[in-house]
Amino acid sequence: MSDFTLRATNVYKTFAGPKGSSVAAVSDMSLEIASGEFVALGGPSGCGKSTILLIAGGLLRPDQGEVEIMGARPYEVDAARRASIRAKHIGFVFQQFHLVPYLDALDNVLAPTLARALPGAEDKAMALLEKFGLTDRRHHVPSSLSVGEQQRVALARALLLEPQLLLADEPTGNLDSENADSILDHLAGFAKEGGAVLMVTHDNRAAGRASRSIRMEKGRMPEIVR
Amino acid sequence: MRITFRYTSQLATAAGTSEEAIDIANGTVLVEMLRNLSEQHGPEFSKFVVNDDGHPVPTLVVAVNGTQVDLRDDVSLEDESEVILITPMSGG
Repeated sequence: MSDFTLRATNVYKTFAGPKGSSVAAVSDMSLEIASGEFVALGGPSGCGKSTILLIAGGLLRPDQGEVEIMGARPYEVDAARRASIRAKHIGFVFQQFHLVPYLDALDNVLAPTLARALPGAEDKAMALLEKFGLTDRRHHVPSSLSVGEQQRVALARALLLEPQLLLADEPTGNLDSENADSILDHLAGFAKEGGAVLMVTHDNRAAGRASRSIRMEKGRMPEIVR
Repeated sequence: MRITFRYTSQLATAAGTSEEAIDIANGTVLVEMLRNLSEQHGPEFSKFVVNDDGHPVPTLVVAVNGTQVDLRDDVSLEDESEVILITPMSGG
């Protein structure tokens, strides 16, 4: 079993481009993230960083290479087992919050239990809402929450099933600096408590909050910033 | 042109497959394809993809060729594009 929460080895991914061309989104990428690490992946638009997040999340099969999540290899099993690996080990946070508009904050946090049972789910959801300063907002629908509150609800939803790995794609992209700091604090806190975070961001300030920052260029990771 | 669609979690269950390649007319935009797929796969699929008014549901995450797209934009597809439909509420 791998000692790493996430290990990707010699991963390649190419997409079809305009007029029959092809675009190498990721070339010979290797990445390891251990429990307790908060890793930021930066780089210019189109450099392949979001592709890596999808591959790491068991959502996009690479053309070549291996991916392990908590020792499980999502691309060597069938789709149902791959979905089970995702649900068991991974939480996702996106730039837009993707909350259900007609559910209140509490029920949005509980939404993952529609697909996977979780004993004590409501108590866990309430504990997350309290942790994120949303107890008083639990019965508000997304349209009556601030954008910062909506992203904290989305983060609570991602954490409900107690994942070991959190994958975040530009999680502060729609937030002002105060709310961005709050989300980054919570991501750092998740890592400090033993989780692993891979955050894609084009924001150098957000990347500066990570314990390790990697800058990609044209599908490669030439530069380990720190 | 030929587009590959990949589905996660409840979408794969509802579609009965986690992946399918579909031939579509040149110039078809992504939202049109989401409506077509919803009609094809029925209400259990559609409820995670488009509203009754044909707009994408707010919980749907879509990535085209490895990059998340904003469904408020007219997203065009190229031949051999890979489109992933994700329901974030179920951990993907």
